[in-house]
Amino acid sequence: MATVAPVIIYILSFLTPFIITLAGLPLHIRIMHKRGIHGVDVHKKEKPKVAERGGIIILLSIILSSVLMIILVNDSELRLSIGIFCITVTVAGLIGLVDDIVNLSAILKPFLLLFASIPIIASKRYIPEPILPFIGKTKLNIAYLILLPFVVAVPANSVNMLDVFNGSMATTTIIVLLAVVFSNLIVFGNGLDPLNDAGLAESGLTYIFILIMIGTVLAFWIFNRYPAKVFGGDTGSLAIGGALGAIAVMGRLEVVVIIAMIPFIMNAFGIISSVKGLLERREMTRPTKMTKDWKIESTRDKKAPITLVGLVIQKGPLHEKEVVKTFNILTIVSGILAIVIAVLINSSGVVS
Amino acid sequence: MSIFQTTSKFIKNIGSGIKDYFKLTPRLTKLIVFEIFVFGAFIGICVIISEGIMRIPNSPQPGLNFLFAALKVGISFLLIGIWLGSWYFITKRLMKNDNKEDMEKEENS
Repeated sequence: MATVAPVIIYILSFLTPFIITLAGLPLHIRIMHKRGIHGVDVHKKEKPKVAERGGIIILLSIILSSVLMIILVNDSELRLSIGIFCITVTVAGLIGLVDDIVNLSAILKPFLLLFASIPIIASKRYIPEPILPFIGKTKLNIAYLILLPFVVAVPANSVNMLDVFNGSMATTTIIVLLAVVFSNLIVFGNGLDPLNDAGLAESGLTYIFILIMIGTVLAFWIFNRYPAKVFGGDTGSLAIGGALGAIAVMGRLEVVVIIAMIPFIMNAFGIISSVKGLLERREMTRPTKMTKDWKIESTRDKKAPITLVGLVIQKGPLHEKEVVKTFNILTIVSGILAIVIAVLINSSGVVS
Repeated sequence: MSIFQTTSKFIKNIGSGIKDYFKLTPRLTKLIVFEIFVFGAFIGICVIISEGIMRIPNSPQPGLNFLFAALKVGISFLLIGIWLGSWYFITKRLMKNDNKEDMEKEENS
């Protein structure tokens, strides 16, 4: 088979999922409305009915794009890596789909997500040497293996916890993904060097994963932005979060992803600490209510979880768009800090 | 619409965008400072591990060397654990204190 130029692969890895999601979502929205599978957008005066489970298209888009990349890449190792990435994201997304349909318990969902990393472990698509600034490669071996399931499950759950407003998950994850692209470029030095006839090197693989995700999430955002026409559901948020975890492990950018996701983790910490454990969204008291002019304000209920939203609207009610804007600003700051980490890793000369 | 009008409208839009941003920022200052603190603490821990723990010399005796290596990993994990723990604890305090302050203000008014 003729070798496809890597630059074409990069372009296709963005365009394919973008077009699939863009074309698939209008159809999905129609089907969901027809079958009566829609949720009420409680943050709007008109209480519109919004199509649910948009994550199914997100998942399909990632799977189909990955299959195309497997066909185009001319190296069995790279094919396997793309396949493993696809399976990991699919497992996380399917757990979300099951949760969307039958409502999994708050303990069972994160527990099942621990298994999403099994494909990575079984195929040994990881290097147990996370790179830290000043220190360099740290040989963790068994300890890394123990921590690996959490590297996939934690981002998946924290993205799920921040998916509460129109467009909030999409914009924040795009910012995280952009920070990871730049970090990959910085950490692995000649990041674009793999663009040669010899094929894609391992760092080039990270670009494929990220471009697939950016293409998918960007097209999803067009339909999920204010006022949303579709909700991603747990299928979407867990697939996207699982993908972030898989990129962290397979791209060897664990620390960069953790720093870029500070607002997500902060929100998860707040919820877990205030409700003293894991509770499903449906089991929690609502932390927000709407004002007469349809802005979001805190309920001041002591039983309600303390979330990032609660913290942002404490000084006064805010419009949904403004809340999402504050999330974006916080993620931009954490994204910049993640790039600083990448610069520190690179300047320490710890990656060879 | 002339080029001058279009340009001035564009500049006005950018101006109001920046104004909006600053309207939101006071609410966010605390959170951004906290983000920078989390980042700074992590860098601090990396420096401690790099300049302190990693400097523990290797021993020629295999048994002792294993012990030293285990100690290095153990202390490093402990430091990372402290970082995560303090992140969790401060997030909890930050959110609870703000909630309490607001409730008190509301009761007084």
